Amino acid sequence: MLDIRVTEKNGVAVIEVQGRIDSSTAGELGEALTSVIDDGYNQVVLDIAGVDYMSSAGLRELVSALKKLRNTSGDMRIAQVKERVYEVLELSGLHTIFQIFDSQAEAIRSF
Amino acid sequence: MTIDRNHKRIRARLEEIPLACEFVREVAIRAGLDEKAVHHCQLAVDEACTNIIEHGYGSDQPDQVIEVICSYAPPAFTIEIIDSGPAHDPLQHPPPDPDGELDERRIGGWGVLFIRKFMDEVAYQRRNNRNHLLMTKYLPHGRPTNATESSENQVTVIDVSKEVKVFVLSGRIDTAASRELEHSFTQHLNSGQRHFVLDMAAVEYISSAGLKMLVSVWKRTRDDKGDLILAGLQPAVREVLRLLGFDLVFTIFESADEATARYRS
Repeated sequence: MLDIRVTEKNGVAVIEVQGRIDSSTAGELGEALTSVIDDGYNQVVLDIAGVDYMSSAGLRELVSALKKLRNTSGDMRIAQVKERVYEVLELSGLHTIFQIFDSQAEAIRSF
Repeated sequence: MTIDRNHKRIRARLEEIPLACEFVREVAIRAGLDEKAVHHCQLAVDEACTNIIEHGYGSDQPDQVIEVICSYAPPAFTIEIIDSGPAHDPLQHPPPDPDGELDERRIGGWGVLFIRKFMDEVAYQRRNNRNHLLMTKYLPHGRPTNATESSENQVTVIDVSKEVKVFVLSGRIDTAASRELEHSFTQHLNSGQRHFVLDMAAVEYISSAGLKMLVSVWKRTRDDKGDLILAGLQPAVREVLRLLGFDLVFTIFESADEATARYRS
């Protein structure tokens, strides 16, 4: 089970996630992302300070959401990526596709 | 050092995968893998099990099982994942391109790439109608520490008959011990001996150099129309042979007595 909190800051949807993102929980992240996008947000910050573990099932949700957002000239930016999770992003080449920030505030300001 | 072997069975449900990961995490930590390597092992198990459930069994078979076996034969930490789904070699799939642009990216397909990248060796085998995925991680400085032990290795050669020699081995068959053994075999081969029984009841560890030596000696005996029989393997040593497929190469007997009886009859 993931702990997902969605707030809005300066018109940006901020999704804070805590927990282990794997094939059994990635669906919860996917639903949160979809509902934010369906609500009309096209600027999203995903804060994963509370995520120590992400498998490829998590990447699948990230890429799927990013594709939707970029189709409407929006974007999703990621904040506070832990070392082990960054390794996964790097391996799949997503570290060059996502803009990644050290803090949530920087990620929000970047829009 | 003996080989540590651990086994865990989960049902083929995504929500049970964390149990397999936790099991592997615990065993890997005990084996001395560092935090990063432990994380890699968890991811590899996670991806392998996810593939089996999503593509092998299918989500409509929640009562099927997945076996996870961890073996530790320093410096190799090996995880074997076994399922009874249709024959499927995940390593056959072309991996996605990490340099691909967003538009060209397939949404999925990363699991196998993770397995390949995060583990040092990966192999697939189909045996007895089951899929076996073998994934190995090496300890960075995992050479067996007490190499001096090899000097305590004992080799006793017993003449069962003029043709048959029993080599009684003990201790660790590491690089140094392998060299000595190969030398001894060579002398016997040169003097015309070609039937060997290796009594390995007191062997607690065999390194890859040891296995290489055995295969090399086995080939030479075979070329001379002789044979090399292994006997009395400890479970951990037998497991290493099995993992590497050498159980198919060698004739293996439960005990040296049974092996030599073969020559008497």
